[in-house]
Amino acid sequence: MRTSEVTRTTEYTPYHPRWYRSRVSTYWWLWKWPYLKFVLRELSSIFVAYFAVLTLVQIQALSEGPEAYAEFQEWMKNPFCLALNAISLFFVLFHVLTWFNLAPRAMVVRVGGKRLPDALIAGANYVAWVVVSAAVTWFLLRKI
Amino acid sequence: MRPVVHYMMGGVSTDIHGATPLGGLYAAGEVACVSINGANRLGSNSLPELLVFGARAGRAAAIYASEQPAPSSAALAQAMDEQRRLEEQFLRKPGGKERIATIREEMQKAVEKSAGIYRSGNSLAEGAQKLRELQERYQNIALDDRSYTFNTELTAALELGFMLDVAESIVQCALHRTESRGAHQRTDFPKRDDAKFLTHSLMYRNADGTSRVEYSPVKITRWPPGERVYGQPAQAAQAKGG
Amino acid sequence: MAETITLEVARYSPERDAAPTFQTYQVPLRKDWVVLDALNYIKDKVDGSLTYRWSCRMGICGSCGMMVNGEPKLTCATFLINYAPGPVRVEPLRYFPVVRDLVIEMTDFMVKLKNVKPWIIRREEKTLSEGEYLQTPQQLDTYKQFSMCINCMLCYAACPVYGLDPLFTGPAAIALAQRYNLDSRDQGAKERMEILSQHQGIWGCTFVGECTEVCPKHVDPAGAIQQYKLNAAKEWFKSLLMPWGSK
Repeated sequence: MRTSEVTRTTEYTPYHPRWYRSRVSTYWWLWKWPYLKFVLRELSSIFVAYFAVLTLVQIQALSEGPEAYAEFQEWMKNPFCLALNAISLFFVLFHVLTWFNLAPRAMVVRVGGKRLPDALIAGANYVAWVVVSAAVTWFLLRKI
Repeated sequence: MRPVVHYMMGGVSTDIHGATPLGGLYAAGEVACVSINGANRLGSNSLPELLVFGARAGRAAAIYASEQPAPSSAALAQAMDEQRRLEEQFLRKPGGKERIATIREEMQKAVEKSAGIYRSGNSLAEGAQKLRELQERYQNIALDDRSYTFNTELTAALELGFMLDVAESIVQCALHRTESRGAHQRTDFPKRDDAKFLTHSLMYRNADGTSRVEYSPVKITRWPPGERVYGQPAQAAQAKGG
Repeated sequence: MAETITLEVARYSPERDAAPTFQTYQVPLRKDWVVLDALNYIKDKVDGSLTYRWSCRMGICGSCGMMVNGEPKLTCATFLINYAPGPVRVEPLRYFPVVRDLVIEMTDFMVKLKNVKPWIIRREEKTLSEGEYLQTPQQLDTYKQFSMCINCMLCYAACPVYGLDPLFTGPAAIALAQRYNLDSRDQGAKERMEILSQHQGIWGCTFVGECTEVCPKHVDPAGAIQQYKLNAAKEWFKSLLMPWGSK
């Protein structure tokens, strides 16, 4: 089926003068706690992007020499930045937890005909996270 | 735990293509009576019956429809008459005091009591009397719902009328069938009577509103009727090779 | 336990009303009564004009889906005592146009269901003499969960994407498409992929997950859609890197 055909058959349900259609409120996401959690989860991606940009800025400051880096560190110490980074850390952690916990729903791994339990797949993600973090930490903190 | 309805062994009379005596009307499944189930349906046969005869009836109906000319103005006039009847009898009728649910529940109780698996001439006669009373009261039904949009109370009223007809068929045919066969067990006539009653009962509505029962012979092709026995007599019959 | 419970039921008759209103009824509160029993009580004994859909009253036909206190539920499986002392608010299924009282217009869903081709597609049918299509219990296991769908549309009433964008194919239709894709007897995955990997197909879904929460048959349509997305992405990469391979 071509795209144009799909669009034609999946038409907006035509207006019928006797049907009643209620408008969905712009604040639909405030009506139920699961909806609010979902919107916060999606918004957390903004904070993930912010951390990525922050890392890039940090690397750039590093490349410009010790003075530029000292300036960067001073900037990071101001209360607004600290607050922003604390909130971002919370949202990034929220992002990671929700992502790992939902991963088994999308990734169905079958071993010998049986589906692996969700906890195993989510657990594997967590383990990988810890291992990679430990490796990076060791790499950064070892004596050169 | 309580017993529930097993199956409607009778139904609209059809041939093996699903065609009823009324030209252009096709029926298949539990509502139809081909009859492949006879006096009692075997377990699991209802679903394959529906699949097989549903397909056959659908195909036959399509062929019939493709051979028909466009509907005449007489047909349209009949449709308008029927709409007027529905409006007069239900949608626009003033007064009336019976509720659909009341008559329906009384009908259910009457038929369950008089025409259960075990029935007698007396219980059936009582049931017939009660149904006659309910059919009169049915003429006095008042609808709460007078809307023309998705009126499920109107369909319930129409269905109740037909249910009363079906109940009458069950009770009348059972009254006339003075023998026991399958799901029809007469406590006053406990034996099967193949000489007189190896037949299908056909129920008709006369022009004056009364009903009549006619009979048509059963066509035996592969399986002649035998004695239905269980336990020791069955083993003995098997040993004899019967 | 109280003797009665209050029901606030949405009423709408297009001949009479411009918008739905609520009508209050008192119904007996019995331990074993569900909301559907209460509605039937009202229709039989109190107000015959109350209109709603129902059929099997045992959670298998999918006809009686309605909003009960703001949550999509099968009214034949929702017990009144769980809402005592009430009131219990009964409204038509959300995000669908209302035809009358508690009856909604479901043509949109039926069209979308047909669009995903929910039947076994084969390049060549086996002849009768070749026998049945054989399937092991493990092969059945891969798609069995998605085949439990009763088309009750509670998932559509829980899906904000469907509420905001009526073109979205929706959870049940995609779950059923996935059911056939995973069926070992089916060879139509490619056909369905072309239909579903559109914006209003699987990519409209943002994994809110409410559809799975409300599903009375534990079909997990959200899981089905994410699995389909993974599949679609794989297929896209394959077609990009190995354009010569065909299924």
